Amino acid sequence: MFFLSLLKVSIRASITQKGAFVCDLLLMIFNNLIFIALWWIFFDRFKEIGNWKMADMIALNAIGLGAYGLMRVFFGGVINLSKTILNGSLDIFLTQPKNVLLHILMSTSYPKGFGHLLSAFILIVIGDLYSHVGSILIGITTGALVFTSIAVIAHSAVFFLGSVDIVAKKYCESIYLFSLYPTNIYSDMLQIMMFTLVPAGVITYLPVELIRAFSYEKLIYLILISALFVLLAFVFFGLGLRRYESGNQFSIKT
Amino acid sequence: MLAKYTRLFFLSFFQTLKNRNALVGLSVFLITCLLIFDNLWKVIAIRIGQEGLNGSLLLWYIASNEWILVSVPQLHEEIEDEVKNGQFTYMLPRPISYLGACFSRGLGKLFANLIVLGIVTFGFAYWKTGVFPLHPLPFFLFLLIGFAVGALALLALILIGLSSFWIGQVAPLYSVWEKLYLTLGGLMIPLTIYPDWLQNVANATLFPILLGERSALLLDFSYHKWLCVSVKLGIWMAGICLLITMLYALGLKKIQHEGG
Repeated sequence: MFFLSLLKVSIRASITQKGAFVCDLLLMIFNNLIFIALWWIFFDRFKEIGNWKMADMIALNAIGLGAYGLMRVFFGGVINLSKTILNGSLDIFLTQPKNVLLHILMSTSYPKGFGHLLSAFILIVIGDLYSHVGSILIGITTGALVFTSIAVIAHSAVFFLGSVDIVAKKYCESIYLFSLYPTNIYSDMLQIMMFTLVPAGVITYLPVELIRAFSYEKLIYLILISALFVLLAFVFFGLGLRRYESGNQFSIKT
Repeated sequence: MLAKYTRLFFLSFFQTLKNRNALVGLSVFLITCLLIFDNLWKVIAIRIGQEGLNGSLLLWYIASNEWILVSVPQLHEEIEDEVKNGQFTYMLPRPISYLGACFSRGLGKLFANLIVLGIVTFGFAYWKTGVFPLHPLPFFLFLLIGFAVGALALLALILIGLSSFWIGQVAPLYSVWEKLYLTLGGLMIPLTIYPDWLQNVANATLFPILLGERSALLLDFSYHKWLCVSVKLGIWMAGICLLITMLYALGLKKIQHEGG
């Protein structure tokens, strides 16, 4: 109940400035359409790559953008997690009787996320993907969880290594970028990397395979792998938290 | 007059060099991206019927693009923070230009990153291919352009950062910049795949100078091409500096009217 109310407040706060919200929304849709246009040009000329057609790319982008958008709206606190840790702002969360990680993640929501979600919706319409809405929603949800988990792990590295926030940020941005490519085009070694170190394949490739040929086995795999990333995020953050030294910051969170 | 900016430059330069963990992290990240993009480009080269493309030079080309892409510090975020939390207004009465200080700080970080990541990237490319694409003098000139291009990217980020005087968050604007950077710069897929009209559009922007056109010097260097890229770079730098000055003046006026 607490987290639901927190989320509500965060989302409301993110859309209070209506003009800025609409501006962010339009910019993000334009931004995402640039990428789709690029793939459209590519597939218009080469028809397919690694047995994937434009329809598959639209599904992949719908899932990738939706997942990223969902993360920004529901777990926006992860974007600046390393900064929160480094400048000692974690103190105010530690004093509250709630799960620290969830509290931080849900305390911020970014309007930019709505732009991504809206882009995903537009792609579902353009790609005529109505019959796969169930699989797409599952993909968006698991994708958002994996995006968030990986970001938590990357940002938690500052507990152990100090000011590596810039690396964490670039790493998270690159996962987002690579998740918008079809993973099957990579060679063997890189494919392994795409499901582990840079889990772009888990975020988009697996859900699209679910759409291409649904099976409960694939679905269970997807859910289990996503759950594993979530578990890893909690463990990694927990381990890091033990090393946290207070910033002695005096502030009140209302 | 320039002494204070030089000091800021060196302060930021040595601070960045001291943060070894970040530099190691960026290096690992850069090599990972290099391997991924190398694989991606090879697949695309086969798909577009350019199997004959020299794999070694391709890796050097991508290395050169990634070198700039990863090295440029996120200066727009710092400016946004300073404008939003009011720290910017405290800096106004000081006997130093805010823009000059920002640029000096950013340049210090950029140069430290470019030096360290340049050694890592080009060292890795040489180790992987066993080939050095240019003779020492052209390679030195190529590196020189790389540093100037980094400064141009930094100026563009200052421009994005200054937009925080008017818009809620600069992140969406930065995302658009980044996407155009990657697509029109020719990193995501080769520019030659695009239809002619889009290639013309791309060539009319600064993005090919930042990435593709500059990196192409590694594949086919000539002093004439180097000079062309340098002249274009100079023109873009002058244009963006002018825009920054105008935007900053407007931003200051807004602050004076509405408060910081």
